[in-house]
Amino acid sequence: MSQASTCPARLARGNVRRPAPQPKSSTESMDTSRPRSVVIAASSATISSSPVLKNALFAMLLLSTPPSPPSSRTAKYGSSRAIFSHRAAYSSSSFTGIRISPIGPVYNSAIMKAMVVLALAFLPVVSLADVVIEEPRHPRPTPPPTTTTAATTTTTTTPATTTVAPTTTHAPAPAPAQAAAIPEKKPRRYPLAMILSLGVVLTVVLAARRGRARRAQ
Amino acid sequence: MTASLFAALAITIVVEALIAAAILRRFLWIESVAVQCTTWPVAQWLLWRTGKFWPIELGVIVAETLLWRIVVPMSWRRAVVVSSVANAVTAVIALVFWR
Repeated sequence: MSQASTCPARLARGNVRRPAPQPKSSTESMDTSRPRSVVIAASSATISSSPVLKNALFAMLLLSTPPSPPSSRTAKYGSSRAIFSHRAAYSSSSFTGIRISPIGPVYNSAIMKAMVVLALAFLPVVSLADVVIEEPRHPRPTPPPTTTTAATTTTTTTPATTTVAPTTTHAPAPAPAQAAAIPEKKPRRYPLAMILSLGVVLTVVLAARRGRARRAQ
Repeated sequence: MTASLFAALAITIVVEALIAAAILRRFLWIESVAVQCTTWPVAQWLLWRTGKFWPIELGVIVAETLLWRIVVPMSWRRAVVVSSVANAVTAVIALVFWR
C-alpha cells in the first residue's frame, strides 16, 4: 500500500478509498480465496503451539530426510527426475545389491523402528496427561474484614403471605491493586512433556549415529 | 517450585554424567543429557502420582541401563553398573536435600 493512499487529506476529500484495516494476526491475513494456504497456516499454528508436536515433527524430519542426490545426476537430468531416479535406485535391491529404505538408512534398524513408534505413541499421551500444578502466582492476601454494603432488601408484604426476601450481601468489588494480587486459578502445565520429548529426540539421534557408525565398520 | 525442579534435573544430569565419566573413562555429556531427559520427567511424574520413591528408582535403573546401552556402545554389565551407581548417588542426594 502506497503512502499516498493513506494520506488523511485525500481520505477526507473522498477521492481515495479508505484502506482496509490491517489484519491483526497471521491467520487473519490469509486470503480466504486460498483455502489450502489457510489450512496450512492453521495447522502450523497448532503445531507451533505445542512444543511436543514440534519436537516429534523435528525427529520425524531428521529421520526421514533422504540422502541428497548426486550433483552430476541433477545437472544431467534436472531436479525432479534426478530425485526420482535416485530414489528408485536406492529402493531397488537390483541396482547396487544393497537394500536401503528410500526414506533413509536410519529406519533399517529394528531398534530405531521401535523407538520411533514408541516416541510417536508416547509423547501425545504424556502431553495430554494431567501434569498440572496449581501454583499461585502471588501469595494469597489476607482477606479484608467483611464489609457489607447496604444492598439489602425489600420486604414485600402481600396480603396472603409475608415473604422476607433473603438478605444478600454483596462483597465489594476488589480494587485494582487487590485484584492483581488474587492468585490465578488457571492451572499451569509443567513442561515435563517438553523435557521428555527433548530426551527422546536426543536418544533417537544418538542411537541413529551409533547405528550408522556400526554399519560403517 | 519450577525452579527447584529444574535445579534437581540439572544436579541429576551433572552428577550422573560425572559418575558415568568416572566409570567409562570418558565424558559423555550429550548421552547423559539424553538419558536423564528421557527418564527424569517420567520418574518425576510417577512420583507426583504415586509417591513411591524406591520402586520408581528401581524402574529408572532398569530404563537407564537400556538407554545407556542404546546410546553408547558398552557391555550389559557396564551399563548396569553405570546406571546403578549413578542412580544410587542421586537418590541419596534427593533424600538428603529434598526431604
